[in-house]
Amino acid sequence: MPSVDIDSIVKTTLSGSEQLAKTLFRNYVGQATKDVDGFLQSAKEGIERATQLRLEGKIDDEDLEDLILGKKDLATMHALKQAGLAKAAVDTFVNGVVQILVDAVFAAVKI
Amino acid sequence: MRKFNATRCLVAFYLALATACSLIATYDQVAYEKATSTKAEALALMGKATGPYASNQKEIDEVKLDLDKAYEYDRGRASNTETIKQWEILRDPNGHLFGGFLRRWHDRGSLHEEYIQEKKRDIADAFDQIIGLERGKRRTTE
Repeated sequence: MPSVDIDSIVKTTLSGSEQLAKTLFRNYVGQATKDVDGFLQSAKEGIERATQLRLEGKIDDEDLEDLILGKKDLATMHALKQAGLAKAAVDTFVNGVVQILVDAVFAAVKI
Repeated sequence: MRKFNATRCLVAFYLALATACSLIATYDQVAYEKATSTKAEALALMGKATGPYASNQKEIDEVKLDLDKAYEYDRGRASNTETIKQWEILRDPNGHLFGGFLRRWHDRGSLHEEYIQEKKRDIADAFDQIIGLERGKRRTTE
């Protein structure tokens, strides 16, 4: 009766999962950092422009206040996107691990 | 043979578990299209806010309705918390994005051109966060 080498399946799955995690989460962290940097730079420039417009009398105090408070709402929008993308990365990882496991099992039982 | 069947069952179980335990909804083309089209509508409408609110009432109502439809569509999807919250912030009349913009336009009758141009940047960015999250969700074929 043929038997299945479970240790080999586990070893293959762990090795593949480790590689998948490295690639997937490195990409996610890189994109998240880039997004945060981009937002901070954009918010800084936006506040500078709004302040200048107020000094030139092209907008009033209420406009300026709304533009500044809008950056806070926008920061929350960015944070929610990153929270969602982090969840999506975890889902992708879990599904990837399952696929690696399936491949390892079928490779092991192939006669 | 029994061992092989048991292994297959185990694999099937893990597959089902992985599917059932998704942390976030998968990518949805309809949701993506609703977000991109309402972005274009909202920005076009904002460009008219130098004129009287009352004169644009019909178009304002149409855009608000399309935003409501996009929000309700996303609200009906399971595990979609972040996107739903994003729509709520964007639409909130007491906030400082699109809902707040419409409230200010309503209260003040018309808005400064320079303010509108600055606000359009923020509203476009806000929509991009909804669109970007949808685009980043896992495709079901992955």
